[in-house]
Amino acid sequence: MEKLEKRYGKQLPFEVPAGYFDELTENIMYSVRSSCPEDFNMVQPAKYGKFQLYLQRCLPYVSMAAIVTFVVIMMQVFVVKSYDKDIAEVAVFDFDSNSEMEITDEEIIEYLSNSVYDVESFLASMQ
Amino acid sequence: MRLISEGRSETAFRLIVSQYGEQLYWRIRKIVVSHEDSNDVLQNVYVKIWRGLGAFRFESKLSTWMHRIATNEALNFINEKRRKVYGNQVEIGEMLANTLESDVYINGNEMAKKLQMALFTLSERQRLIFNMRYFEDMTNEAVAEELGVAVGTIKATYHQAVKKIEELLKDR
Repeated sequence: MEKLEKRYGKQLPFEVPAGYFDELTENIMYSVRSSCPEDFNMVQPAKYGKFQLYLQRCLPYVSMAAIVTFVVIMMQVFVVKSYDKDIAEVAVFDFDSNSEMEITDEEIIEYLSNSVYDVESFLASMQ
Repeated sequence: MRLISEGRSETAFRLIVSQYGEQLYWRIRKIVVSHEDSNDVLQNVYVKIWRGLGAFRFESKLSTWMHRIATNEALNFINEKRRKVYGNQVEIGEMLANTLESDVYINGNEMAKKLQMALFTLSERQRLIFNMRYFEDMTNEAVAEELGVAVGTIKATYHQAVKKIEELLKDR
């Protein structure tokens, strides 16, 4: 054995890629996690309390509810306000026109006589 | 150790990986020769260690248990590879010599390469014991404990292996 050691030493002819051993632990952890995902899912909850886990699960639903609430409030503020404004405008118009729509008998007679005149003149022009 | 004895813990496991990863890699590499194959075997070894850790009862040393898993996994790998690639028509030593010639991660140390080539002529058992005694400086007792054989068997096998290698390298 001494002869061998003297002549050939204890060196191996093998090499590894640069940085291989620096990343070895992380690579192995990744590989084991991928092969046994159920174990690591079981380990994970120990890091968080039950309340934190509950919050994590609820977060998407809470976010969605908040968005819907925001949209409803915005609709109330802008859309309903403009709708009221339209009604108000109509009411003002109606109110004004009502006074104008009080037609007197004289006006009706005048209108009819004008219309009759128009029809007669039309018929005359046709002949 | 306390964390391990309480069952599988990610923290304890990470510690084991960082402490023994390199040692186990070199044990495997000496058996399978190719870097890529060694890396694959090492990943499998750690998956087995992770799965078995919960049942580990400290009846043997943790490092001995892990090295035994690595050795068995590496030996199974080369036997399986020979069966798949060469259909058992080629000796394992010949297959490993081809691997040594073709692997990318081989340095230019010609003497070391020559010694490896000579090792490929040994039987699987002789080569394993030679590697453990010669390259890892393990005692006969430690090798015997890990492989679960008598100390006398290790002494005799190692002696035969050294004699064969010296004979083979005499004229080179």
